Amino acid sequence: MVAHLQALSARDPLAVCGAYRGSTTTSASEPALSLTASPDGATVTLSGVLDRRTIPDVHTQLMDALARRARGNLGIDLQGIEKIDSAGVAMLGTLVRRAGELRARLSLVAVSDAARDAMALFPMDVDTEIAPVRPGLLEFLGGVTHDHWVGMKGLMVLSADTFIGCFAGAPRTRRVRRGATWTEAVRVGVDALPIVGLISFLIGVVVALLSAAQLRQFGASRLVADLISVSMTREMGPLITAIIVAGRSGAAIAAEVATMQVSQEVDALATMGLSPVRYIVVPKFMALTMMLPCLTIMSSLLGIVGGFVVSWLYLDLAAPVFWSSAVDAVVFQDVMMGFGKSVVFAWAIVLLAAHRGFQARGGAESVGRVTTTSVVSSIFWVIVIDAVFSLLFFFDG
Amino acid sequence: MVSDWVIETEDLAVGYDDKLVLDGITVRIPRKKITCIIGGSGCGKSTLLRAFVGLAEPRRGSVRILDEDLLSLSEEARAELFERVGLMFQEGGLLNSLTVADNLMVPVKAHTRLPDDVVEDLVRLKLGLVNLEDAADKLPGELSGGMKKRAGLARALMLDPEVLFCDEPSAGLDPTTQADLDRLLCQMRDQLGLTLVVVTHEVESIKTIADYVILLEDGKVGFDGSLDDALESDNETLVGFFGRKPDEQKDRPSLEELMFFDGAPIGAAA
Repeated sequence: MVAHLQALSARDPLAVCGAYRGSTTTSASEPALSLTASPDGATVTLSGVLDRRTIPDVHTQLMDALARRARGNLGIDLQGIEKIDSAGVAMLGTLVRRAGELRARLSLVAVSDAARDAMALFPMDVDTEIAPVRPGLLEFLGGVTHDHWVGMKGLMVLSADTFIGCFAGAPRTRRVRRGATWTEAVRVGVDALPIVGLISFLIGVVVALLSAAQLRQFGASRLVADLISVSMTREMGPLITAIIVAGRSGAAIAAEVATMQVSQEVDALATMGLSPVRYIVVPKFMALTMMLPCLTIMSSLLGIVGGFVVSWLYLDLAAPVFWSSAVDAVVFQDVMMGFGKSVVFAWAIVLLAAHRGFQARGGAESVGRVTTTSVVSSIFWVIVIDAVFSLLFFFDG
Repeated sequence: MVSDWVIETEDLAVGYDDKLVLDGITVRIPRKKITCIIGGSGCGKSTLLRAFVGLAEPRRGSVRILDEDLLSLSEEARAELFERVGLMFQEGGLLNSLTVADNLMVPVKAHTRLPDDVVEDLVRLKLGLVNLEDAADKLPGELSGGMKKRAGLARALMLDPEVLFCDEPSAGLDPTTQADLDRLLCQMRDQLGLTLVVVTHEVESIKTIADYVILLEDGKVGFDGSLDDALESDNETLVGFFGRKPDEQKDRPSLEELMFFDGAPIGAAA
């Protein structure tokens, strides 16, 4: 091989390739690299310094030259290379791989000592096999569907395990995690009271202000009380609470489970004979199932209080009038629907967060990623479930 | 009848996503011996360990551990089996929300009805075994890497398992602690009749503790035999691993060769 190369390098490249054209040079102070191609495009000559600073100047031209020789030959003449660094060798590797993809043949016409030494110093495993063809639309759709189905199956298995875990497998875990459900209940419920309360109150104020401005024009100010009480108990209360809790506790659950997953805590639990779902998810599941309806009731009440404050200050509606209208407007079914929805929201939040958490692989980066996806998907599903409930019960209302 | 083997695998294949990490693994781990699983980074050592205890579901093949067919066990039966098996994780695998002492109590409370004061003494005893008496009330986050490992070992030993799996027990430890740990592992084998399966890179440690060596190469068993046989073996990887002069490195095609591949260069033809 070396003898062959030497024989080649003795030959004048001009004699081989004929006249040259298309020269690229950089300013004198910078390391310079020139690229010239033979008229028929069969040979490209590189001379000067091939390193990380000069490669960007010639990269596109080189790739274009190669692309024009698809299914043909391209000769590379490196006789004039004075210096070449690892980036230069890497670029030659890129060329070889690209040639493989284009089914072109790449030949080294001549090589300088500097270039040969560098190639020997940085051996590269160049995968010359033709890269797999990118999947077509049908294959892509199939892949996405399959991935979603696998994820869905995982979620269903987790849901089943969690429901079963609420009743079975408790003694062993309870001995280890005594009072876990109550601790979780305080964390997801009691600690969320101030933020849920404040936001509900403010939303009550805003909704009342908006509706008051409209209803006042028709002399129907009194209906503000009806509007606020029905909308808060039926829709706004459960939805606001669920969205806040999904952002607050859902993210915390996903991050906690994901961290346990990547730091092998989940594996450790399994090898100690404890079910990770029973140990980690079930207490959170039971806690949120208890606490979300409570938070929802409080949220609805404070929203109505917000509406009352506006009616009282802005519409001069007397307190007894407001409250009697508000109470009359709400039927038992509205309260039950808000209550029922909040239980389903709680399940969706915990199960989606835990499901995402268990999907974490690798390190800290994946914890962040699954936390984000968990919050997005729980808020999305909370709203979807809310819409389904509203559609199902709209005509009964 | 109790078989001579603690673990037997038959044509085991394990993979993640669409990549097969282990392929066609058939090994037997002898009872009351220390078996070291060695191999280059990413060759599937830890995955094999995970497959032994059912943390990695195999694509095919079977795993028998302590005379039970692991894959056919119910969740409850598996939990009972884990009373007899200890696993020491690479990073300790401690529950970060619990103190070291509470971590050690987890397996005991899950599997026994020992009174609390006995459990406390048991924890103290096991912490003493790994020189961590002072760390009982610390959270895992406050421990150094080596201390986490030792705490993980203490937890794995809480129920006096019949077989203990260690995932790189001595990596990252100072030489003294490493030697202490090796001595402890040997003592447990000799005095308690414990079977140990150790994944490790540390050559000195292997030479000190191993009875048997399993070498993994590209997800397959490259060597399976006693330590003496391993030291004498002509297997290229083992030769390199144990520090004898390696044979000349297998040549990879150089870039020059690749550029000349498939036919004569244009320049020569012209």
